[in-house]
Amino acid sequence: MRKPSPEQAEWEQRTQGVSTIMVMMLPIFLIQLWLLTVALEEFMGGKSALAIPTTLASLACFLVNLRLLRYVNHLDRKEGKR
Amino acid sequence: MKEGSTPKWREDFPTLWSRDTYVTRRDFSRFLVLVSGATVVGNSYFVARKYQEEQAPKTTKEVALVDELGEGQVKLFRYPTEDDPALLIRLTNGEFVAYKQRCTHLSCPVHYAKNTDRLECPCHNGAFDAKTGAVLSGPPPRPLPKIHLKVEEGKVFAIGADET
Repeated sequence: MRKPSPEQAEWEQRTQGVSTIMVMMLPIFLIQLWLLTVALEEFMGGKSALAIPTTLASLACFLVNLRLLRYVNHLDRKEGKR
Repeated sequence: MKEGSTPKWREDFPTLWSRDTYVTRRDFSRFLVLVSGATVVGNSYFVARKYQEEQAPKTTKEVALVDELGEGQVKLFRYPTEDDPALLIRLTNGEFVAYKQRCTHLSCPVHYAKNTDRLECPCHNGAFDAKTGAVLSGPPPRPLPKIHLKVEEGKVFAIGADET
């Protein structure tokens, strides 16, 4: 098997990094969707006791996603320096 | 731009598969964060509505004249705000009762069935007792919120409503 060039190996490593981040972001986003449907269902039922807890949990998920995005941007900056 | 260097826009249109995969996944991750923020905004809407409902003033509102409704008749009105439909019912014993019109299951409008003396929700066959608002059958989890009434000088007034 032909050995990949250093540049190609670096790209594959970088792609793996982004893929890992993406795989971490997706379940967090699915949790947010679930929180939104819980709040919506409660609202449609005329209640609002879970409105604040679901919003806070969703905000926490968003902040985690934002933190993960920083890593993606970090990878991009590395590309810009090349 | 320095001569010989790759322009910035070229980075987003790579020719190698490995770079292309990187760019599409990076953009997808960014989009995911954007939508993630949008869901927070969506959740915040429900908090805003909760706050708005808590701030709504308790008002007295004239709903109908006593002679306006015969036994078993219904009048639709809005209370406490224009966004809250409600039903005023004159029961067969002559007594007035009023409820919010939104079913406690999924907010479908309920209607009064005179022959059974029940409030029925057509969406999922929920039914409430017209005298008390209690759930008789179907999926509604709670009784219909009652609107408190006062009869004075031949007029019916709404003077407050139960929490939803």
